[in-house]
Amino acid sequence: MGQGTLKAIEQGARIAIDMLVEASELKREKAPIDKLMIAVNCGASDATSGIVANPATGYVCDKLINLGGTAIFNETAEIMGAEHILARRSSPEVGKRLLEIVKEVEDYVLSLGIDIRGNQPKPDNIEGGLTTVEEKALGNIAKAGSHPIQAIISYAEKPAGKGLYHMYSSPAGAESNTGFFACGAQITIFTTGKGNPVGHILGPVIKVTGNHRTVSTAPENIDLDISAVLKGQMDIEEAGEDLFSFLLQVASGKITKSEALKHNEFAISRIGLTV
Amino acid sequence: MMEQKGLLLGTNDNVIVVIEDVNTNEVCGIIKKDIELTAKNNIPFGHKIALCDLAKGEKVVKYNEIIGIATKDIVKGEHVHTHNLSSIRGRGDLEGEM
Repeated sequence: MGQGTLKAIEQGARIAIDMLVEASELKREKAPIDKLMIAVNCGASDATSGIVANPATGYVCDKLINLGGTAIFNETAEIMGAEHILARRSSPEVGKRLLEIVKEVEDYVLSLGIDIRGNQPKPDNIEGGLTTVEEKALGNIAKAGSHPIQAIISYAEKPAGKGLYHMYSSPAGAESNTGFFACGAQITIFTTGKGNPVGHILGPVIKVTGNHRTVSTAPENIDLDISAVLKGQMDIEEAGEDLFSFLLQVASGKITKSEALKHNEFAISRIGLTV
Repeated sequence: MMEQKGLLLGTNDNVIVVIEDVNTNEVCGIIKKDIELTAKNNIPFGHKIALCDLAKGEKVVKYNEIIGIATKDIVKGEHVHTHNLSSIRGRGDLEGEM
């Protein structure tokens, strides 16, 4: 084999042909719910994210874990300011490790002599009403529900057991999803405030929002609208149940909007940390 | 009829979030609370309003947790955002100053 672009593509295509033939014989089979491993992530967060879509997603994580399943969350830089809450409910060992990795991210930012406000919250978050990284983090962690964290896993590392896991990695959507699907997650629930079209080449990304304006401006990018919560017309439990039902539909083969639109984003984390 | 556009997320909070745009001098009610306040500025959907006067350096609380410190004196009813509230985390630019 040569080492140039065309030889590399040829080598990949030869592997893919065999995989495609093998995959053609696979049939959809019933599986128990405890085989379900989901990941949660967010993008273009605004004030509604922490009030509506993230708590509803947290409800889904809790319910799935109670049924024996697994949920993964990441965005290590974006839990800065709320890490004490996550650490408190986990074992002393996991809690200590979580505080260490958030400090590692913060120390990295400090060592560069930069102001994290240049990058966190992002301009769309600020326009959406989020002022500080702490405020964003407090809304963010609602997505992970209320179970203790079983362990901190590294980028694309497979969880050793069931329950809630934190993947120590960048918050960026496309590279997060690559890490999730590579470690065995089957579906990502992606919450958005101001609207984000993200999908992924490796698996379905369910997009859910609690912002009624986003539902009207970008309906083709939103799988589930739970904005009635903000108006007090629905509670988090009802929204969470709707999202859980939608999750099971997708697990059973229903395609998501991003798949229909062929939003096949893909990225992997670079060497060194992205904050 | 005054509209209830404010949302109080934690009992210890000193800011509220608005779920609709609020105009300057508009009297804004808070959902499920017997509280109202007059907006000092235009407050866009999703943004925060001070529930009480906040002195420069005072901690700003939302979800019952500290989200940063006031960088200026803030009066009740004022828009609370990047111009008067700052993060206290990840500030490499302030190393040696804090």
